[in-house]
Amino acid sequence: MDNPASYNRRSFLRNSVTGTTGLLLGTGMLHAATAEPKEKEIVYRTLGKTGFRLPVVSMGVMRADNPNLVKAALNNGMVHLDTAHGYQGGRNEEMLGRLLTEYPRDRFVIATKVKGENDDFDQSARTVRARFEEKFEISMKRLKLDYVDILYLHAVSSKKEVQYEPYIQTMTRLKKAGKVKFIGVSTHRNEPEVIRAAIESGVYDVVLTSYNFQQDHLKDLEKAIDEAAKAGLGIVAMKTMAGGYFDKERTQPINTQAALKWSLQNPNIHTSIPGFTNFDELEQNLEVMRDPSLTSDEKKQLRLSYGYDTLYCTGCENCLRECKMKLPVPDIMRSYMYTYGYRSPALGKEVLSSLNLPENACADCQSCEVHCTKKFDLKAKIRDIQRLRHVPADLLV
Amino acid sequence: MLIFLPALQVHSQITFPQIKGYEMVKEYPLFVPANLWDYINGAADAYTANRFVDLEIAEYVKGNRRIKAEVYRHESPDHAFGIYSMERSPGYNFIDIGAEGYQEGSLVHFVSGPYYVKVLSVDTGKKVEKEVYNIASEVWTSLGRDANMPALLSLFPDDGLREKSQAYTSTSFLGHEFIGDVFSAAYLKDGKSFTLFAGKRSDPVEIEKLIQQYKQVASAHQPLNDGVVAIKDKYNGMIYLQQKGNILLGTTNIDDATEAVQLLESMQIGNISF
Repeated sequence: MDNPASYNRRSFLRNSVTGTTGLLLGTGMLHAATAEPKEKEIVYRTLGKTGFRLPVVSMGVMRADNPNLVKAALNNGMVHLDTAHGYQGGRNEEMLGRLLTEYPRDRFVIATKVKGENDDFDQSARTVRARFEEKFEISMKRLKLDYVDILYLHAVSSKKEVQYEPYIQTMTRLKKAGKVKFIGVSTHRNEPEVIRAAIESGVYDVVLTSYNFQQDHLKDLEKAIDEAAKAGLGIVAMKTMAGGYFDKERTQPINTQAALKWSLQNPNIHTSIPGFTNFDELEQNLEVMRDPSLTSDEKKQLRLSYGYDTLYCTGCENCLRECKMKLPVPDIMRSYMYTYGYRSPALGKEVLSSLNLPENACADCQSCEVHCTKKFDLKAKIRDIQRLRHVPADLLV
Repeated sequence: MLIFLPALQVHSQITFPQIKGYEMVKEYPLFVPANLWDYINGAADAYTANRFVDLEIAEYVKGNRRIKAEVYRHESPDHAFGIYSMERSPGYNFIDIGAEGYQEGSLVHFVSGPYYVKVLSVDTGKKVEKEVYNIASEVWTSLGRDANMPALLSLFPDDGLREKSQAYTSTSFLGHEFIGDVFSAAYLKDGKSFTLFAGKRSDPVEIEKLIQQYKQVASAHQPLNDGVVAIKDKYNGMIYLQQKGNILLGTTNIDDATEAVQLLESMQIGNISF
């Protein structure tokens, strides 16, 4: 065979679509793969009270139009497929409907989504329910299924939408009728409000939410996710790639595999649904499915030097109340972040110089009485960073 | 119910027509790739993959009736056709509008030049369907009434062609990152289903490079007569490729080499200048 290297590159993809067709094009065309390194096991988590045990990486089908890609995902261990009534004008569900007839029903967990209409709040409950159910029935016909595992109320961004009675009535009725196993909401704006509304309603089983390392409101979002997980809801993460670029001009690409791994560091994320359209992306996602650990190099690439959890002060100001010496701890932590996170010790020194710190901050305290909500070792960090004050500015960049 | 991010300061490209009896209202911001998710959520990714530029929306209001016209602009007619063909079903009711278009109830979708247009109403009934069609027709006029289909589609032979199966894939055709900007069409002939595809590049060297890349990821490959290359694709089965200058031709779901070569020869390359 002409290209053993590329065969080995994919050698861990044990099951292709075509398998061994027995087709030969001539002599010397094929040879067996070399011995494969031992594969890691797939990492599974349970999707809340649904009880579904899912690999941590699933498939967001929305952009895919090649059934062979979906088959390869399923044949290599993925279980959960996510689509929606509105994707590709319905063709996405139709593609899945044709493909899934080849698999036993218990081999996959499928979610679809139905969106309300813009004027639903101005319509009668009866009209809203009828419209919603009509869309759902169209989805079921396309998918050629008797039931879906998860039905989401699609793309909501307010408590009002989440708790709108006609939606809840329709979805719970479909669940009682056995056409839907579990119901959920999907959101990519105002996520904490939506998630808390879902918890409060008491009817939803799953939440599908945007979740990535670039979000501005990450602290509140993680808190809401934590509350949802404690309430037994399954949590699925989407938009984990954070747009794929650090900058609007799209000149600084994000390591999307690292970004996906970052989202899975949160144990409350039960699975994720990256959307992918080619086998290279599938490969990368299968790797994460078996090893979601985030290396320090990947953290650096995500500009999370020294780890997100050790660098970014959330500004809660708990420390200002508790520090005996009344040190401006959040500002000192900002200096630390500039120095080690942004790799700009000059900026870090500039901040320190503006703070009028005592010569040896923390020296008078035997032990630190501050309870940092990020569990920073504040004494160690302050001792470390204040050394900058003694470095001449012209030696720093 | 809808919350939008502030629109970017981009000048409107479209003059929506005035429709007698209707008040035209423009309440929606201009959507661009950065905020299209806010309007069509996850479906936006397929649009941005087809080099979506912007979306302008106008609503035509008469009493309680609202008919919305959405004009999606893409970088090229090929890309507009790409997203249009992705969402189109062969079973739709095709009508004489745009380069191609259909009406399903009170919804009309069509493609014309770099525009993919959707005109729709939540109301139902024959009267509103007629009004939706009329507005769609007026919008087509305001966009210049371009009725040309992408030129490369003329390559595909008619014999066995499944109606309305022609499509354009901008990225990751057959699930391979290195194959994009490809037209394809589905066929049914003598009980066999297969696909023909074609892509054009500015330089023959780009086609050579693409074929080389495909060989590198193939399970096996073999040159045949007439410059045809047989590729055993681990995921997609047998693929046959042929380079004609700066045009790539290909088949999928055909196992027999002789048959594949004949099909490649039937692609009407003479219609295309290169």
